Amino acid sequence: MNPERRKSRMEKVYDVIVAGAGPAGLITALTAGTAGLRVLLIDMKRDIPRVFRACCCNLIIEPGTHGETVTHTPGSIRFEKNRFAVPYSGAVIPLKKSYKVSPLGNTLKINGKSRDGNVAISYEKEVLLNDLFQRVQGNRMIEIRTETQALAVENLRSGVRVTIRTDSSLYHVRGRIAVAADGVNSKLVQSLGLNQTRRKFFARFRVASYHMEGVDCPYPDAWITFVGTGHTRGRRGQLYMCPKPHGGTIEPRVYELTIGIPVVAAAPGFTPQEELRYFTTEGRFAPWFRHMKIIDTRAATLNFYTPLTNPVEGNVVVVGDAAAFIETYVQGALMYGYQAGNAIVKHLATGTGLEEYAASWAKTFEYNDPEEIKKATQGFGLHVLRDEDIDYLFSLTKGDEVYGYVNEFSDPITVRRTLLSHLDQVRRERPQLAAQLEKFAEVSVHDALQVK
Amino acid sequence: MQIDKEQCVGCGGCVNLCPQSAIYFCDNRAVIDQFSCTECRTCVLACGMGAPGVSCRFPLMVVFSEAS
Ligand SMILES: Cc1cc2nc3c(=O)[nH]c(=O)nc-3n(C[C@H](O)[C@H](O)[C@H](O)COP(=O)(O)OP(=O)(O)OC[C@H]3O[C@@H](n4cnc5c(N)ncnc54)[C@H](O)[C@@H]3O)c2cc1C
Ligand code: SF4
Ligand code: SF4
Repeated sequence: MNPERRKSRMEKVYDVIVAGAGPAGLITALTAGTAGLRVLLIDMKRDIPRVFRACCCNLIIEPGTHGETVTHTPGSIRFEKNRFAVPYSGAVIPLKKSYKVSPLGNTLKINGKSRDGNVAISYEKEVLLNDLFQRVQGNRMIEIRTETQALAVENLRSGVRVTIRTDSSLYHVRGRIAVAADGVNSKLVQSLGLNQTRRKFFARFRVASYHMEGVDCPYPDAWITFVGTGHTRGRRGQLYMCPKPHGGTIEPRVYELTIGIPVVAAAPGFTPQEELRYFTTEGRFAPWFRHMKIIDTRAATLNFYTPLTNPVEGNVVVVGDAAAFIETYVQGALMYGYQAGNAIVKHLATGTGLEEYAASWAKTFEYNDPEEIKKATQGFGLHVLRDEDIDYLFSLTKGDEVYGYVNEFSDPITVRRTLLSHLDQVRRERPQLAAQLEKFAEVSVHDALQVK
Repeated sequence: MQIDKEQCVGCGGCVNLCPQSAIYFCDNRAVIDQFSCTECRTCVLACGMGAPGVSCRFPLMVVFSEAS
């Protein structure tokens, strides 16, 4: 880059510099740009709306999730309490059931609890990002730099300085406010030292997923969780499958199969990619995949830190997964991004506003309550039971009418309640298992996540 | 360390975890700057696809030094 150009770039001061153009960053930038602020939006990807990171992308429709009720209406996704909507021109697949499948193939069936009988709504992230990105591109106040990576942010006496890298240059940009929307392993949060000062580390997970055509799945409108250790060679990890709209349509049927495995240094085991191959070619359910064709492969790596209960540090605002434990969900990234954008607009006009965003996050993001972390991770935790016990327990639930949602907070409770409703019989037939079930609430987060 | 372009799906998972900030993105895929990498293997353990590996670091360095 010639020195003149570098100089002029350094001297421009943006109102808002947004690092990361996932759902959180896109909506924060759009909200600030719409209010007339000068925004710089950067992302390391070349094609911002393309999705390469694994995400099951189900709309979590249970009322009150993170303090909000989110619904799909044709053309948009609506946030009732926050009173806004984002465009979504894609297709959806309403999921009617949630099936938990044991290693032998017994199922615990949960029916949709919503008015329309849904447990969740499967939608397409790439269409959502594309719709949002078009609006961002159409906004003259927002400058976009792709293949541009944020390395660090510093608070200055007034404003911020962000260190940025491309494949051929390293430079600084200055702004009044910086937004760290760079996802769950946020580089900007690291650079502020907040992972040490405000958070506790739990575990690292790595994930891989396949999108497949030609799957002979007996449950075409269900969210399927394969429970127990017998589904994998390494006997660790969680496997999920559900139908996904693809390229804006729902035919031919495309399924996404996802596996997440904790990284345990002492037992490296198999990569998620290897486990997916095993599950689809040699596992008990391999016959479902005999004619399948993989049309897309995605992956993810996540550090699980406790959330940043206070997501503001000086003039730096942390939004979406960057501030979360595991995830905010796409809808949470949108909601908190929208709130952060509005807070920034107010803050730059009046000198206060960021506190309101911080307070709303502290109050509504459910993982800010340590008990919720415990409860939710126990949802991963049925595999502390032996596979044959899970088979047995699920067989007891055959005639049950259970209702619920796909939701990491309420689902573990629904499952536990269903299993405990058979406690008398389990006490008679498998007293040891009954004792284990009764103590389930005491399973530690580390055991539930299989990271020991 | 080098990333096998055929194996990498561009999930970005390794990028922010590299202690040297040696990993950047080009064409939606991760690339390692051979001069910053210290072979600490963090990215190898982080990648769900098995994409980072040690295979051909040395030849690349030689080509670089000839060119300069
Ligand atoms: C396996 C899995 C399943 C999931 N299932 C669901 C689900 O069913 N429903 C749901 O709602 N959510 C789901 N999620 C969660 C959802 O994907 C996230 O909560 C959501 O994408 C968070 O949005 P974000 O904008 O905060 O971060 P991200 O979507 O991660 O976006 C971060 C952006 O920042 C960019 N970036 C990262 N680092 C840098 C850097 N240093 N410099 C510049 N740019 C950078 C990235 O390229 C990316 O574009 C799932 C996640 C996983 C891993
Ligand atoms: S973690 Fe693996 S798949 Fe993801 S960007 Fe890095 S090398 Fe590529
Ligand atoms: S080996 Fe270590 S230093 Fe080299 S790219 Fe991987 S994580 Fe970075």
